Amino acid sequence: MKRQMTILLMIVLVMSLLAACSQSSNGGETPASKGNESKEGSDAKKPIKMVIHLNGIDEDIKMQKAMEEIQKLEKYKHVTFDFHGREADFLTAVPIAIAAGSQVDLIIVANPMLQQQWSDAGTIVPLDELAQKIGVDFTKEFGPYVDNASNNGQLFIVPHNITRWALYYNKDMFDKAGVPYPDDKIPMTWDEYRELAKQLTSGEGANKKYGAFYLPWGTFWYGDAIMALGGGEHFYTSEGLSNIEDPAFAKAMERTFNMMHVDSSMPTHANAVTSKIDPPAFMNGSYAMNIQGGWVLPWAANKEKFPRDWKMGVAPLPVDSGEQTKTWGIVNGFGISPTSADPELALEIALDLSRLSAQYADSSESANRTVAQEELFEIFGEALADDGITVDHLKSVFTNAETVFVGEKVMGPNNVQYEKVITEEVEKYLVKEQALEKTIENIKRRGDETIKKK
Amino acid sequence: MASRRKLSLRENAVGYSFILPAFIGFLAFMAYPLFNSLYLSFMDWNMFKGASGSTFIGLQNYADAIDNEYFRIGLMNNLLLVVMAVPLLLILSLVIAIQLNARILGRGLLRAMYFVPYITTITAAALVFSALFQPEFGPVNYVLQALGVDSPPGWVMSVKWALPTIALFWIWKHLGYCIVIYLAGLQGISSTYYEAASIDGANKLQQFFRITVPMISPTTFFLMITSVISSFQIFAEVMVMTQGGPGTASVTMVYHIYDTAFKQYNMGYASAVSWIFFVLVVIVTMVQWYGQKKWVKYA
Repeated sequence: MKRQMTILLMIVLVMSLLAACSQSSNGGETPASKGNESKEGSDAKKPIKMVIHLNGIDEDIKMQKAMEEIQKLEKYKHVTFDFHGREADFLTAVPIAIAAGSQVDLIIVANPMLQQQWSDAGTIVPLDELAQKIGVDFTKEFGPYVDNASNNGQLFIVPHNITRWALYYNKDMFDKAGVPYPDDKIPMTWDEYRELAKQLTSGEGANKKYGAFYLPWGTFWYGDAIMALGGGEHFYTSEGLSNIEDPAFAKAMERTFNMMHVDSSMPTHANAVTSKIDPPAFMNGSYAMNIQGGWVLPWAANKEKFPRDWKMGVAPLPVDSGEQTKTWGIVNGFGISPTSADPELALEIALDLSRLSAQYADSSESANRTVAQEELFEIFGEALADDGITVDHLKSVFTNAETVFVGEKVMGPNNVQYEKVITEEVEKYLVKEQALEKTIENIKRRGDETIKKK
Repeated sequence: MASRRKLSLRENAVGYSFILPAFIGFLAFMAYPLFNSLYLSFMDWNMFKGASGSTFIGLQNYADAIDNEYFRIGLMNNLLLVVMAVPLLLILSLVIAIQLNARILGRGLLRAMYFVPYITTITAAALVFSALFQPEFGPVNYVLQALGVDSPPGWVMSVKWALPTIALFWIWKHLGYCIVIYLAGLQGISSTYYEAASIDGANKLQQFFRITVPMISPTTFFLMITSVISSFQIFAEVMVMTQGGPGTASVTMVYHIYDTAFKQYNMGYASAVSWIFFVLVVIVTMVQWYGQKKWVKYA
């Protein structure tokens, strides 16, 4: 009897466990399919919650206005919006939540590498069929940026924001060094940028003022090369292998190394990593020049959060050669998760968010082509008037139609792994643990192996 | 007879009801994930599509692991960490425990000070440690330069020093715990052994090697087993201090598992590496277990 009871108890436990597990691993039935069933059933305007992860994009004024307005639209009266802002470990936590079956409707896809990775993995779903169902023409909606929305011939994101980089500088440090400000219209070359940084560097130890700012981001050591070559797709040869042996890459890496270790005009890579120097650190007044995207403007305008007693200037990004202005950047956007409660509705909301935020675009251009972006730089022209910055000036730097725009990320096959190899090898070079030739040789060998694995 | 059986049945039912919650917890949070990971290790698993979007690939993930340079580097780094960190940890903690076992002034305070890193959040402790060992402006290198060292190590930003720095941090973090365990072991040794040895003319060093070391060998064995396992599991230290760098200098097995599972979403491969790693840890533990018969003395 005792034995029978034990067996019975075990069976009950195992059955209940299996039942619980089968609910979470049914594979086919997702909240999305449940949502569709209920919609097809009787009431299409049944109350519904939309879970939207924006991870910091919500801190942008244009997105805040768009979030506020979308909740007031009659067509979304039945929708409860659950916006999530900045999240610790967003890049792992949210995909795992999706994999676990939690409802996520829209998720910000912040760069093209992530877009490739997430579209390959199934973290975000293709949008072609959905777009057809709701009758939206992506080409009309996003013009040339429709290319940025696609991976492997399918649409995966609703393009939202276009980042473009510029040169920001500390006018007071230029004045102190008796150096004229960078030209508003004609860009300097990277070689001139290095020379200028040398002249602007002063002091030692804790009082050191650097000529140039540095972040341990790829663009800081391969930016010159992609600008010269024409974008992230040039990390590959015409045969589809690693193009790192192109002299442009060695030249770019060497320039960064020399600024760190020969001129001491830029914080070293070791310092940036161990001191955890973050992007807004430029605002602390210890750097004469900084290359970053349009996101610096809100920091500069927010003097409560980033108090400063110096004036800032903005100029075109340095270029590889000539006087033609060039810049790099990315297009980010909204992806739809496979666990969306209603993918069609999610796509409509993503499109409306892109249109509404384009209407209020302030520090960077929005990808949406159907809305006039009349407020672009208006706030900052006013907020940065004391710095001598005007709306026209910002427009000429950030939205000049003549400026050559290149994609800043490693694109193409197995790009995430390939960039990992580049980062690992360049890091050893920048901390003086590996020669440049060896670095190039290692990237070529490991990069080719990585690319071929795809 | 029947009532006795009834009573026994009731007693058993009560007993099972007490262990039921823990048993359910064990099944749900230990047994199921464990065996599920074994299942995943044979699959090309798409975590966003579930079973319907995944395929059975047999031992391919295991073959890929052995062929993967990160796996080999991680394994080698883990073995180096064990060799560097565990003996040093045990020797240091025994020496300090012996000092703290003596009647010295401020003994309680010293014990607490040694124990503080162990109870401190690993992230906070690692950040403090990183600041101390910052290669350019850190106080440690400042002192070394003041002492005449021209080129002090780059610590976590050096290919040669990144792993030893992590080992150093791990030792510092676990020292307090080992000291406490050793102190308990030392206090269990009867003073009569030392008195008898003194009468026989044994000096302090002879007493240490002939009495202390053999008498605390079960404690040493326990600490050795747990420390080896713990050093194999090093992850948070790498995550906070180096992210596996510079280059791949400080990639460990658990970091490699985390990277492939949660950054590359390659759950099948990560599960295979986890199982290879599990088997390796079991083998190392078994070797220690059988080896102990030769040197551990139970009183």
